[in-house]
Amino acid sequence: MEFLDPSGELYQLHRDFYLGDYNKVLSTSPENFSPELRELALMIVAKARIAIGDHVGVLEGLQGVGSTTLQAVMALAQAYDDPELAVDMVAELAPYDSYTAPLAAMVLYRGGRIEEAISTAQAAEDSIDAVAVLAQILIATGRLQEADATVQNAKKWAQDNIALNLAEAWVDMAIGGERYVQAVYIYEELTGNDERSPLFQAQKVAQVLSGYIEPEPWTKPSAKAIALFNDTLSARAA
Amino acid sequence: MQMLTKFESKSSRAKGLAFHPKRPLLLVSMHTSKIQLWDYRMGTLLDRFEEHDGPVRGVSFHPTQDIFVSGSDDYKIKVWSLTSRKCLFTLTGHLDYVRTVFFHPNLPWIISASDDQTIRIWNWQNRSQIACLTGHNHYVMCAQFHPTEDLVVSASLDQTVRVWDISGLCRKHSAPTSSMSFEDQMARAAASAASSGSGLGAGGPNADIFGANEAIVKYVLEGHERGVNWAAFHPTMPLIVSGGDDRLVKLWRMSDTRAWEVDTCRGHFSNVSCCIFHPHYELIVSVGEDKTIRTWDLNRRTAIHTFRRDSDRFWVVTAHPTLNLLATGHDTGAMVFKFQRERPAYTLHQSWLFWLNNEKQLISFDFESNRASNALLSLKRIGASWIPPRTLSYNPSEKSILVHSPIDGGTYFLTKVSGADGGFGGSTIGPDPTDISSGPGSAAIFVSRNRFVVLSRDKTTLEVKDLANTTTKSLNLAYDVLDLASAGSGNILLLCKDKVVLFDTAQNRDVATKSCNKVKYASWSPDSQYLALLSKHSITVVDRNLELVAEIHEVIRIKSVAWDDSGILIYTTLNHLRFGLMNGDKGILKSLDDVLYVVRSKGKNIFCLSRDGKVVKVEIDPTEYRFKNALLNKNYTEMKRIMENSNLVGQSIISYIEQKGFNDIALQFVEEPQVRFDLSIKCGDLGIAFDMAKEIDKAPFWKRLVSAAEDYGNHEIKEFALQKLHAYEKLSLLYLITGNEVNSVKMSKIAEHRHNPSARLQTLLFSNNIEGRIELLEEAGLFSLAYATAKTNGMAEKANAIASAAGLNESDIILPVVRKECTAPTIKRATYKANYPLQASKAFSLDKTIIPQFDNLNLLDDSTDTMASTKSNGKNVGSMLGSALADDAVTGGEDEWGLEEDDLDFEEDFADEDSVVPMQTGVAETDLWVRNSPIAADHIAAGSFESAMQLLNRQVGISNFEPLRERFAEIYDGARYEVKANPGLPSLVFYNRRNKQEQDPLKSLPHIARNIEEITNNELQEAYKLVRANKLEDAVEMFKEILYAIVLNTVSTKDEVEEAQRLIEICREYILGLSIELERRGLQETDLKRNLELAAYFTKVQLQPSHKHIALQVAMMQFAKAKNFASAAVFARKFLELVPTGPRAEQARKIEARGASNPLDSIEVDYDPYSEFDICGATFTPIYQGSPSVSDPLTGTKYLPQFKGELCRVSGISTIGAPASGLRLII
Repeated sequence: MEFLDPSGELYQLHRDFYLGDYNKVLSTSPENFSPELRELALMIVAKARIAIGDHVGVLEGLQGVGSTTLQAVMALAQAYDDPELAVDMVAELAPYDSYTAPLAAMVLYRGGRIEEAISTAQAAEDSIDAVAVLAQILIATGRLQEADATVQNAKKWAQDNIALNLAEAWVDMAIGGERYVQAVYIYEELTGNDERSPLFQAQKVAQVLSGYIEPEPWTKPSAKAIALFNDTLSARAA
Repeated sequence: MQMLTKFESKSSRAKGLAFHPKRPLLLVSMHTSKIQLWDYRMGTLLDRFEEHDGPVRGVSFHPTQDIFVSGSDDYKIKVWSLTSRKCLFTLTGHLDYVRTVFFHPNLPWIISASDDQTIRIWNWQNRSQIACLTGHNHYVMCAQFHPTEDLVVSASLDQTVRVWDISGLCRKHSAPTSSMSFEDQMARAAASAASSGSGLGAGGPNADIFGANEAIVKYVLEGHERGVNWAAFHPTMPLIVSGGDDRLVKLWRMSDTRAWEVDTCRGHFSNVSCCIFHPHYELIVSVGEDKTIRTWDLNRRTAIHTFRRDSDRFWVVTAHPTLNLLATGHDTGAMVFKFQRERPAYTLHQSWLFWLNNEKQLISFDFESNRASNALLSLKRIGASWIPPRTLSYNPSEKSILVHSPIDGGTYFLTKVSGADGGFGGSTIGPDPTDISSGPGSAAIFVSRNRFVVLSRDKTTLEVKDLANTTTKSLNLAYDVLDLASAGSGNILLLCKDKVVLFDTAQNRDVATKSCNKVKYASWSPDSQYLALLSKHSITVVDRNLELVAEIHEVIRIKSVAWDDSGILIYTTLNHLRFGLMNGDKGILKSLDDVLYVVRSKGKNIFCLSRDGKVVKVEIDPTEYRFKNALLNKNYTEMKRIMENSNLVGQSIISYIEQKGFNDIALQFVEEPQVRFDLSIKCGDLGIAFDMAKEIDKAPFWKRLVSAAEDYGNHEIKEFALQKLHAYEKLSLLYLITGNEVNSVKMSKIAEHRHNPSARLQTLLFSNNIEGRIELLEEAGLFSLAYATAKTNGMAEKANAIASAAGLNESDIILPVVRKECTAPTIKRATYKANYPLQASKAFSLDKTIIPQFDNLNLLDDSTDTMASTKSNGKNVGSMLGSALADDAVTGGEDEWGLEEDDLDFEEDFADEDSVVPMQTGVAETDLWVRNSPIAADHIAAGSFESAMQLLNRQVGISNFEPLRERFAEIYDGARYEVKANPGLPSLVFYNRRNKQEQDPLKSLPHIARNIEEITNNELQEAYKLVRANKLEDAVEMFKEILYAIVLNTVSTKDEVEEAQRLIEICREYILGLSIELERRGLQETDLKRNLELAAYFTKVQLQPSHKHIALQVAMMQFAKAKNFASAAVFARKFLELVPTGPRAEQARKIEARGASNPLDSIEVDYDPYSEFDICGATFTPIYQGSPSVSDPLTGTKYLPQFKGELCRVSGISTIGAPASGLRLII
């Protein structure tokens, strides 16, 4: 089964969400969707709201909803404030379906339950969202071969889908070598080389990694680097 | 007209461009003084050249040699080697910006145009200027040689285009004839003297002493109303095109005697920067600051098409000398493109190929007879010459063709092919078709004997038409279709943006759909069972129901695909002819110089169409893919046939077979003993492994054989291998556990021979030989032990005898308490008689069907064979061990433990388990960096600051890390990028690698910001500038920064290691020298002695030649002022060596003279100009040779011994005198 509707109603919303065009997603009213898709539309809108940093708004807005999908979204919003509580929240939603599984996997990952997150995402066999989440978690934990296999497997059953394209690009960028070029192609296709695209920054990263363009000159140290440096110095002093 | 972009680079403003004549290389010279070298086919930046100061406006490749030339606003023309990527030499002479540079097509000349109003011609072989063309009275913007004639065309802001006749120059510099008179030689010498000077000698410009001009203005073309920016010759016709600030493109024609303006192309609404004739079509291409590329009809001078760009002004356009490619440079980079596709329109029918050549003539080719026909038809009248037809469809029953062309937004043409003889009687030109019917559509294709289908221009409707061009049916489509492809009678393939649909035109329904991105072409297998769908970078193979069979991906663009008779894909990419198998495996058959479109594969011959419309036959060796295909299809008969008939043995095919899990088959191809050994161990064929081990006869192989034999329970081979290894102890144990008593005894005898009592004792223990042991102990003089052994084993008499013989007192010997009588275990099973099968050979994992076929290939682990060889070799062992063993060679027993049928199941389980790929556990890439590299910078990039600090401390004694804070952060940040992946999860971190080409992620190494080259080109020059500007404090800081950037860095070659070391030394000398000078400037005026000393020491540091005189001048002046004339004269002399002329030199001469007349110093200072010494970095006092000193491990700065353990004043980070292993920058 493919994620989302056969009629294509949600297609554009889903695409806009992955393209990072959150404003466009947020300007969509889920009421305009047919009743059976309304909940999924609402889920995507809520995820976009979380993505722009308004997880508190989502927690308030979805207070008391009955649907497991939306409860899973709430758990994700909760994970930004209290990952432990969020893990407990999703635990109550098990067993997961194709819609709740990717959300649950993200919550589990944020709560530090990495292996559980992976097995949850793996269990959702027919969800492209879950594939994207799984690919990212596997990459983040350095399990590149598995991430690659996940995406390649998904390509066998899934339609060409933006989430899958992106997951493929991430895997390509993590594996590198001759795969870099593929990532550049994917991003070029998704952004249409338009600098205004929210994915353009990622495209530039792919281009830098592949050696296609030079990195921009470094200007100021990141907070992370300085913190690491200070910590190391003080540890040495101790 | 469309623009097909092949490559785009992002950079700063591109001012100059050049195509390499042969290789896919593009030079881009930029306003920022850099020149980039791109591989435009792969889209990779190969190199950068950064020696010019200021914009580089002109660049050009030599037509044959591996060099290129560049001209820049620094007035310089540089000639570079493409091989060494270095500047070979610089031509100087121009007095203002250089605008363009070009090579002569065959003479060793370069022509340059400059803002100094001259055009100069240079001989790059002897690196001299040979002519200077004057006449323009404003900037010369462009000057080019004529491709074949002795002419030059130039464009200038003086609003003229000039044509110059350089035949005189060519004559003068061509090879001297043998009959050269003395007068001629004189004239030549004088002329070259005149021209190699200013070029403006007596007799006017470019005239020799007889007044004959070498380069004369032939025509002055006036007509532009503003400055002219570009002028270019037509490659073959006597035409010139020019473009200028009056926004016009003008076309000029010339005859032998005059030149005149033909026409003007109006349309640009800002300055025209460059214009050229298209080398293949009758087109003019111009670019301008109005951000457009425009094409014009050369014959009608009308605008054809305008390509706009949003925000970039165009500066230059150039054409590839042979390929149909153009390149243009604009404000943010360069692009390579072409206007038309070059794939000839072709179609296949049975053994016939039909295609349209570049003259738009229909030609057929018969694969059976290998013959091409004459032109069957000429479609020259269809569309402009630069619009080639796109597709061709052939209807054999009516002998009709259907041609589709992009004319007017898409048009199809239907006509009959005359000549029933297959066209071989036709003329070379081909008749114009008598009746052509046409109509609009974005694609058209025959769908049955009497019907064809047209896709409407809006791509939403299909019209089925009969051969009278009447619509019989109109079908509305639910989705947009981009193109059509044939799919047998009644059906067509609809190629859409994201899918391919098999469509039934009769029933108006989708039969099957396959999602697939932007399929451009489709090719059916000969049996019509499979379909290959070609996209830009992949081939998708599907079956008749569009179910996926295989996918092949390529990084480089795929151009065409065809099928071999045996169901193998043959396809071409931009540069390779390749094959693909149904499991997705692929390989290279041949490299291609030019793009070819494969149309048919027949045996060893691959037929292709070239871009110039000719059939090319490529011969290949199909063995490799046939074999692989046979392996894939488990067609062992075919494999055997190929193996017997072909020379297939190559590393790649062996590793391929291995990789596919057929080690045993691979074994059949290998002759090299070591590889054979490895393979046979892998597939458990101990027999072969044993034979190979004997052939190689080296200890490591015997050792591996021992462990393999253990795994397989083959103790016979193990025994032999142990004998080879002289592993007597292990051998003894083996005999013990296999119950071989006879040999156990022999081992003890051998030990006796070897005079090795402990080995003997061990063997005696193993064989439970008490008498032997007592005897041995007695021999060794260990009487107490001998007594105890005898006594505890119940041999009281013997014990007493020992005691009395040795004079022992029995009560002195404490005997062990023996609770229970020990009886030696007896042998229950004579294991030694036959092997114990723990694990059988994996050779059995192959299908049983194959075994009979391979019987002559000795594939099986034939145990009797092994035994036989062991047996026969036992004799050799015997001679080695001594005669004792010789007669007791291992005997082969009955095969009671041999393999039985039901073992096979067990074996298969084994094989299955083996084939499961082990789960890869996650390793962070940063951990790999730390693991892969001993370089501090790599550890920093990985975020392992602690280990980096340890390395730095160990390597160069760095103890104060605070000053390195920024550099640490720069490296750390520069090696990673965070990318927002799934919204809802934290960003993903990707790592920037410096070994980007490395395919194995496990060998990753981090990118380190700012390499040595960049530091040399930027920071170091900056620091020198500060020195010149007398900003010494800033300069010291800068040099320290450079030092830190080098210490925390990596390089890839030994040369670069030296370069880095040299940079560290430069930093040391400058920091030390400038610190001395700063100290001197801070002194009280009364402290004259110290002042002089510091001034003198400053001259001792090694500054760059261009700075050295500064120190000498300071010292000279200070010493002269203090009336230390003798020393002042020494400095003055050194100063004069560096600066022999000018007012300062005058002053130095005076001081030198003063010193000569008055060779005395009035103040005594601690400075001896004639002895060698170092300067202490802390006290700034001399450390003479032989005096004790300590040095800084990082910079090598010398210090007086009391400073040991303090921080180095020069580096500010390292500890003086700390133990150090040396800076490591290379892996």
